[in-house]
Amino acid sequence: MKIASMQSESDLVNQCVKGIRTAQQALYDRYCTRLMAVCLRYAKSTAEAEDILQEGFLKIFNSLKSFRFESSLTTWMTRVMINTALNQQRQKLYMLPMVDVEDAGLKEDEKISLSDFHLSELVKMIQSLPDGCRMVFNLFAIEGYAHKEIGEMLGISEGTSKSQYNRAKSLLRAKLEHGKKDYAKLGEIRI
Amino acid sequence: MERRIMQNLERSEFDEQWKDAFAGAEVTPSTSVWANVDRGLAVADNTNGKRRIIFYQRLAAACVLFAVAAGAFGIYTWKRSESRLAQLNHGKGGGTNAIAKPQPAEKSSLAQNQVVATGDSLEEKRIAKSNSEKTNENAAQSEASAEEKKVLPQNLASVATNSPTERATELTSVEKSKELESPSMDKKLSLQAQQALASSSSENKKDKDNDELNTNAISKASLPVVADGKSVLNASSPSEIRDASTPLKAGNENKTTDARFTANVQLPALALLPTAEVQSEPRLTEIYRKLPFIPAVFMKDTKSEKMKHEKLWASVTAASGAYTESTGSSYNAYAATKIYASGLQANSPISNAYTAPATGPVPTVGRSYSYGVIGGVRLADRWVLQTGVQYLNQTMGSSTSQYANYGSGGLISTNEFVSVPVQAGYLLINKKIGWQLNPGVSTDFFMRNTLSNQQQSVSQGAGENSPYRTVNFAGLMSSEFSYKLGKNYRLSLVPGMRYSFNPALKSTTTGSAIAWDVGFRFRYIFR
Repeated sequence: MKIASMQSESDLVNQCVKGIRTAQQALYDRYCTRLMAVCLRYAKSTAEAEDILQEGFLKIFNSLKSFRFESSLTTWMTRVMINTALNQQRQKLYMLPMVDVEDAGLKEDEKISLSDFHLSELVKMIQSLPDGCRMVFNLFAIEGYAHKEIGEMLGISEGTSKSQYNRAKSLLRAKLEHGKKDYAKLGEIRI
Repeated sequence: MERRIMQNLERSEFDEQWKDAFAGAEVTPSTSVWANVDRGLAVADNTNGKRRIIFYQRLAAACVLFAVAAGAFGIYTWKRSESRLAQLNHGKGGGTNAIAKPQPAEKSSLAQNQVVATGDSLEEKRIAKSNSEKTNENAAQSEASAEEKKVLPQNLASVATNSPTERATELTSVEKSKELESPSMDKKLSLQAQQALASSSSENKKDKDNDELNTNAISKASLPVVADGKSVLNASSPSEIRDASTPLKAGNENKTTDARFTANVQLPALALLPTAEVQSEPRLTEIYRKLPFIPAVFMKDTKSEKMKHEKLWASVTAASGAYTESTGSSYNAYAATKIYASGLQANSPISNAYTAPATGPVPTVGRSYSYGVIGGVRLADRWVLQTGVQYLNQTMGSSTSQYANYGSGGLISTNEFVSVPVQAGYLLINKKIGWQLNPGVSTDFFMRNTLSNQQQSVSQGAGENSPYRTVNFAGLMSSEFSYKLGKNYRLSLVPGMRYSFNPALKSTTTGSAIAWDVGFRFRYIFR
């Protein structure tokens, strides 16, 4: 296994294309944690995230022969995972179509630092968002897609994507504010 | 570029904080995820293998089905034509057979019997009886014309293959030649025949359907002709013949010819022709239509004589394909591991496989190949017997996840046999292009089983202490398509299947393996 982990990315990919199970396992071991973090942001729960991860890796192994090394392997695999997550969520989005929503009305100038929060808390905050808001926020704020691209990916208008994002941002700000107060309360008690 | 700038403008510090927070984030998934991925990959591999085996299965099944259907059709057609011929030969009281080998001295009586046998009415019998009195007088002349009869079958044979018009012409020429060759004739009988024709003709004129009446007249009039031993044909002058046949020709000239044809068709050379039907339906076209249909491939020809030289041959053969074993305890790799892996070195990969889950591994599609020499001998026109010696190798793998302790790479089980097949072949097509069905059985002598992975392998041979049966039996079914190359060689494509009657392991009584393969054979024909 150690030998496999020392292999170069291209060798590993070539061996995976040949169907060598040890290489496939090595590739999984190398990237599963990073991709699990991605899946957790798009899923509603850890179990759902693991389902996405599993399905995503199967897609990766099946379509690895089409990878041309034009981008980094991490980027390509992350994109496959995101597409897998979106496919899983698309049915939910179809059932509950995204519409324009009003802003929660929090002030933009209110500065909140995320460094006060643990990663798992941030993940939980994102997971608590409504499905549509969660997708759009992940794609815009973290992946860096434009609203027009998100609209095309999710089959919604650019305006809907923007309103969903604003809604997500407002909700997260509220959660962060709430989390901050909770921390403050805990500090008072501790003190 | 502009989009990216706009996008950056849209993005606030809040977004950047979130992006930074998740940059390089890592969360360890549970171990079950890889197990599921591994299983999914194994299923995918299995599906690909199944697609391959389905192709082989369908190819072989289609060949076998086609062969069976064609064989059934051929046998049906052959039986049908045989029964048809038998009906024609024996269905009319053996009249044809009785005349098949006429003796010169018995010709008149035979002809008389023929009249009685084939006659449909009392009138015919009466005419025949009156003719019989004359036959003694004609015996000498019949003997004299015996030589002429020898010539007639040849002429009639040629007539039978020509059109009605041509036959009429040829028959006329035959009559004329007879007239020249035998000037002495029995005028009395000729006149009697004319009277019979005239009387029947006059009676028939009362009816409306001239064709039918003339046909009856012909059939009736032809009776004394047969009894006389060609007395009409031996008329003293062409005019008499014309007079005798005038009422017939008035109706249908061709039918006159048919009447004479009917009278002579009972000769040996034309014994197989449906004479009864010719008498009742004297149209030649009807004769052709009612001949039994036999496909050209089943007809004997001169080429098949050449093929009969293929009495003994030897061939080299090689085949490859896929095979599956039944699941459960009979699965060789798993069961073999359970049985003799405990005797191996502790903590070795193979012995670790002993701790595999009790349910056994998911069987995958194995591959099978064989090669050897086959000899063949022709037992009958279409039956051959083939036997020989072959090396048979059957390999089956299993996925990694079922052998967690075994390590990566999966477990591969290979069984090797020395096989002695015995096949009875039936030749459906026996020409330059050959096609035969080869059902048979095979006795497989177990050589060894090898369990291996990428690092290590261990073998188990045959014997009393071996978990494997030394002698195994299998059923064989194959279809052999061949092409003859020159005088001494034949190249064959052999799709087929092998069904094991018993599992290779002694401990199991149920379960067996089915292999579908496609092979080639190169045959050398001894002359």
